[in-house]
Amino acid sequence: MRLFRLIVLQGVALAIVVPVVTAAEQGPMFEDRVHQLLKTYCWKCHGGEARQAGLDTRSLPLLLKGGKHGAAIVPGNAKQSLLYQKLVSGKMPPGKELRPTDAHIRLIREWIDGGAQARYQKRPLNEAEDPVLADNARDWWSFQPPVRPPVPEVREIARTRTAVDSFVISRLESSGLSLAAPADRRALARRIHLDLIGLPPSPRELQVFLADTSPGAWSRLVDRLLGSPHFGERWGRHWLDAAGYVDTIGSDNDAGTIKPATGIWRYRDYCIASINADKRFDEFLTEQLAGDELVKWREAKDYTPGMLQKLIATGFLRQARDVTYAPELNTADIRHQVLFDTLQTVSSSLLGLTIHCAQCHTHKFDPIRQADYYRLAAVFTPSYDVQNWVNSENRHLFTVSQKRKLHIDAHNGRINQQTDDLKKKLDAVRARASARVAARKLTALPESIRSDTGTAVKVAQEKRTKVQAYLAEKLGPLLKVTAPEIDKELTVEERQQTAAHQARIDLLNGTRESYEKIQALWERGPAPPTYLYRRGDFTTPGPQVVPGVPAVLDPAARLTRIQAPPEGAETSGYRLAFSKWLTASDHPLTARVIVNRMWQKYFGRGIVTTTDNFGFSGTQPTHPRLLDYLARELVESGWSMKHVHRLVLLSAVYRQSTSRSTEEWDRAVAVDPDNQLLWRMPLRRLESEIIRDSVLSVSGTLDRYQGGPAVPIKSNADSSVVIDVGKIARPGDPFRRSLYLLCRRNYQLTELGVFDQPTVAHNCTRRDSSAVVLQSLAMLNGPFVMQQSRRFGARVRQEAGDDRTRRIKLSFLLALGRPATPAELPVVETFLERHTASTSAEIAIDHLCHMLLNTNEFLYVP
Amino acid sequence: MAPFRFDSSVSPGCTALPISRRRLLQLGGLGFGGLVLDALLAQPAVAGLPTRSSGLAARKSHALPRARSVILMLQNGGPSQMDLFDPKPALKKFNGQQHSIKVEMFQPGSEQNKLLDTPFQFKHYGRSGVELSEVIPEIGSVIDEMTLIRSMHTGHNNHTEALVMFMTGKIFQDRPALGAWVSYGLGTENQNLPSYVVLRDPSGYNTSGTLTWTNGWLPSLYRGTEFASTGTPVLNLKPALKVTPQAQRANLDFLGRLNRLHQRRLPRETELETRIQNYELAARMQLAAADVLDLSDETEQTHRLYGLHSKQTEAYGRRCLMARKLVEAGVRFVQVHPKPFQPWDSHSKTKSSLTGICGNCDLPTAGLIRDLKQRGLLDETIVIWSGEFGRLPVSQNGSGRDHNRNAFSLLAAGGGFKQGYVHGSTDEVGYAAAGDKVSVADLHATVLHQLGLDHESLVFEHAGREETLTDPSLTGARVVHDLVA
Repeated sequence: MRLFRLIVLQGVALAIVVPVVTAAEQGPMFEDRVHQLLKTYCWKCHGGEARQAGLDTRSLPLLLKGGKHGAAIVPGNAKQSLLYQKLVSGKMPPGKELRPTDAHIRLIREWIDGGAQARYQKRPLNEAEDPVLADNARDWWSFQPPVRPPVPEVREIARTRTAVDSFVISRLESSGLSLAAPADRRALARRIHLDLIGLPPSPRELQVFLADTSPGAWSRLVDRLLGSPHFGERWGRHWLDAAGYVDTIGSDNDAGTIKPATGIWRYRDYCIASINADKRFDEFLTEQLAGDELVKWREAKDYTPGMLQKLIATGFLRQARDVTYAPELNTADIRHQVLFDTLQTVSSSLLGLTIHCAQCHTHKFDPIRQADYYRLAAVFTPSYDVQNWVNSENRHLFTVSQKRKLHIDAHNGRINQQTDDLKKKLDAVRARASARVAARKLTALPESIRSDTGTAVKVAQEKRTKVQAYLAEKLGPLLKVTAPEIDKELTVEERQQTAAHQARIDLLNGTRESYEKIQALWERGPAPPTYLYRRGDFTTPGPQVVPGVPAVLDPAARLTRIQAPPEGAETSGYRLAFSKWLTASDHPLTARVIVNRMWQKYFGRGIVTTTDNFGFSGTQPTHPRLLDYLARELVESGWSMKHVHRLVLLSAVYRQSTSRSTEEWDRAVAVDPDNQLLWRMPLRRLESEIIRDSVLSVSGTLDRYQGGPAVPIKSNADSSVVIDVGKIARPGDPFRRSLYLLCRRNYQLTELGVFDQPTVAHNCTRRDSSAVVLQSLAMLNGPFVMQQSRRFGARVRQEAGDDRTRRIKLSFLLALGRPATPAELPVVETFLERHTASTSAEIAIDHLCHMLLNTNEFLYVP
Repeated sequence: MAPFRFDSSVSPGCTALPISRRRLLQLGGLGFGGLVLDALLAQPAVAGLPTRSSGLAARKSHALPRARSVILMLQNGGPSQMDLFDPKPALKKFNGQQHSIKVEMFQPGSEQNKLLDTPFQFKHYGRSGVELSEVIPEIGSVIDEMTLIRSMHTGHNNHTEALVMFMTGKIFQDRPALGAWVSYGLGTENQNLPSYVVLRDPSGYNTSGTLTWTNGWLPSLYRGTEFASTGTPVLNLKPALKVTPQAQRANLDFLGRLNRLHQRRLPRETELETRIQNYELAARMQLAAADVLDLSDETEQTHRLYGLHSKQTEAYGRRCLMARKLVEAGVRFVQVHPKPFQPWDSHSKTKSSLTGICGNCDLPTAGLIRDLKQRGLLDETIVIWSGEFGRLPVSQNGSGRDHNRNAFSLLAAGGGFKQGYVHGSTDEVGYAAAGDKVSVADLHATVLHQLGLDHESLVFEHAGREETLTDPSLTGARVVHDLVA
């Protein structure tokens, strides 16, 4: 398929021809050494990391454009060129460290005098960078707005529960296949608990569901779990994957160094709360992309709770690795990388497109032009302005407004003043008592050295004579007065004085006000110009581009070019405009991308397998009409995610068994080896967090406390990563759900890392699920599972009493959601007897519990 | 010890090299069986290009390989080329004078741009007469086995970016490391041990830690596995709480029975079978890994060869010896690290700082080369000794040198690399590679080539792009045929 009207080769040919035409012979070319010299002498302030006086010296057109003092060069006349004047006068570069040599200044003069020639510099966007879209470029399925498809007719109408079934069954039927039988109700209860709240059902919850045989029991269970506060934790974690959430700033390379992104946990909690509240998905996105542009927070006297939440929501855009807190790394290239990484997160998680190739060249497969990439970048450059940067450690706002913060600082300052005064008074009283004790101690020394020692300890250490130093070292300790000695020495009156002072200090301290940091994104100044970078290199800026979106995704041209903000606006509004476009009801990608990821979580694979690539090189949807149906349902339900969840959960497809008879299985495999058509429920391994949370839940130690700062973790020398129990805030912290543990990029809690919790170089829209031996070792020998197994054993013994049959039943119910089968029972009995014979019945139960957590059944969604 | 047995993963015609009797004895002598670790029921062995689901079964390379395994001695911190490998008389001549080229600094301290002579003498070593610093005499004594590349260059002058680039080909963190690519390309010959093993100092990580052995977007199977060089080699290899071997056996038997009963419902799920096998493998791995760690069956002479008799060299020497035992046992890629953090990062006091770290690493490095040679393993094992970048010719803080991405030196031995050969050169003061420049991508392409892998064909599809380690269309990577015999 031809995507662009003019083929790229013409652009290349043009580039080859241009130098021949413009390369006059009279002087050096900009590209030859001039560019390098300007980089060395000027960029630090004019082009690389700053744009002082509005001047950018990275390219010839930018030099000609100049800054607030006018053009930097006058071609053909070095003496009249500001650039040359400043260099030759020694005014620039400032300071003494960096002095251009005479040869360098001469070269620049020759270049300007020779007409300030350049090979490619003045070239406008060429056909390779900004080709015209071919008429059929938008024909690709995912660039067409989803249209509600008719629900297909199926033969096996009795199996259909929701429209989802009709779409799936119709495809199965056309391949001569059918759904598997419905799963049994125990398996279903366990499945939906793990899928919706990430915890196995308790025996009691199970019993309630099994006892409810009235119509609508399933639907009631669905609603109950969708309403559980744990639902937001489970599905919030999925969203945090897509955002690339971590609790640290920087690249988090070194095991022993954790650089916290203070307050970022509020973004995590915002996601959980939004999902629990079923916040409209369009609103959820808009807040995360442009929360700061939705509210007038800058001049607010106090933030309203909603205002604060909208600022916190922009934490979505603060997840890229940003090492600019380190002065050596606060450089233009690294700053650009933060911007580019952020674009990648936005495109892969929200657009389902791989646009990053277009940073260097027009996309090879998709009709995404290099100019499109930089137009999209221009949406974000006002907030990530490379030339007006704030490093990652200082890029934060507060939980209170600027005005309130000033007020609090002043208030606390006054309190500090008062408490300092009181502290001085209190110290003076104690100093008097201390002096009395010291005098008595000195008197106890032999008279011959008494006064010399007394003097020696008073003289500053570095000013002591040799003798004084000796005396101070040897006898000084004997004269030291301790706090308890002072306490004893205080007179009744002094004691009353100090107590009064202290009471006043405590009272004042109680009136202090506080605020905390939040990690947010906002614009700090007027929107900077954004350039297309030739070959993706910021050192070779090409023509300026205006903010926009890829034209192929904007057939109505509503937003191909975003309007410039009014003069003096405090924020450009670019991101808000982008969000409006993104959440338009006929956007071709937004709704499809999110419902596809939801489907992926339920069925192990998206309708489009490549969840971050809906482009030409991505996989085709297995059920395109179903995808569109769900996308339209999302939009038309008022962007209700829970509505889409219900459609899936109430379907027969979701409720079918994972198993089939061997004959049926083999027949289906012959037609559809990868089960793409869903002739059975795919077997899914639990994600790392859910394994750990389930173990804690089964053993009875799970602490369900929600939200707040992350539970600290630390790396050990043996490469294990454990909870840092020395730094926890609450005793129950080590037993909290895994999503509340500190998220690092490269050093996950051992139990989580081994079960494929992703390393977070970038965001993640699709997790791996491996089966490696280190997992077996962790479950079999690891300290966490072993300790929890013993707690599980103790719980069973306590709740089931001494009766072995009851113990077996309870341990199976807790771990696997079912009693032992008749086939298993004798095996279990023999096992317990064997252990009981060598140790005790108690220890035997520990072993049973440990092995139940090791079973394959425990690890998979039934 | 269990006898070595042929099975699907190492059957003739499916391994990377025809297996020799000698090799068979070596493998058998260590008592390793040969079960396929992952995807146990999957294909017997993969010929040709690997795929997303190839697992770790040994597979054929693209071409007849010269080498079968790699030991990478990653000397992070940036070893100073002009103080170790690349003599520069001009530095003596112009010591203290301002250099005519303004060098690219990383940290403050070199603003004066004044050239700094090396505190060390250079000598001719071996028959080949290669000039090296007096501070690495032991490496000098085996230089006739090695290729010295003086014209390496890289893309960034910060440790992390440069380390990530050295290992993954680019400065950005999400790509797989060389060892992961090699494991992906070739699988492994010993299914009781990981394919890619990392031996770091037990007291801590080096700068950038796990990034240097990451699987990136390759399946996690290909990530480097850290082996501790003391204590238990693999995390959780032994029970954290006391369990007798008898009780553990009873537990495993019971677990196997429960899992088999469960499997009846899903007989065609290969992943369930893999997991069942993994528990047995875990038990065997306990023995296999312990064997590799056990250095007591090595002779006194071997211990001395690696410097295990001296406190100064013992720690690094132990890891070098383990590296040999691991490649001998069929591990594909072993990565050895020196002291934690960045031991070669001589920002000040070049003389004492290099004397210290060379004292730790020089003897064991040479010992490894000698030992591989005398066991006939050097021919089929590529040994690479390199840091992530070099250092500047100008002084930082009076006696140190700042980072330099424009030139560094690298040693390569075995696996077909030339012997006693010097490749490439730098400018007069060693600031930038000048003649026969070798990029990191070139090095990667050459290493893969020696393993029988074509760097342009070893692809993995990621995010809509056919990714390669070397990305030749962007980096211009090529096999440097001059480096190999």
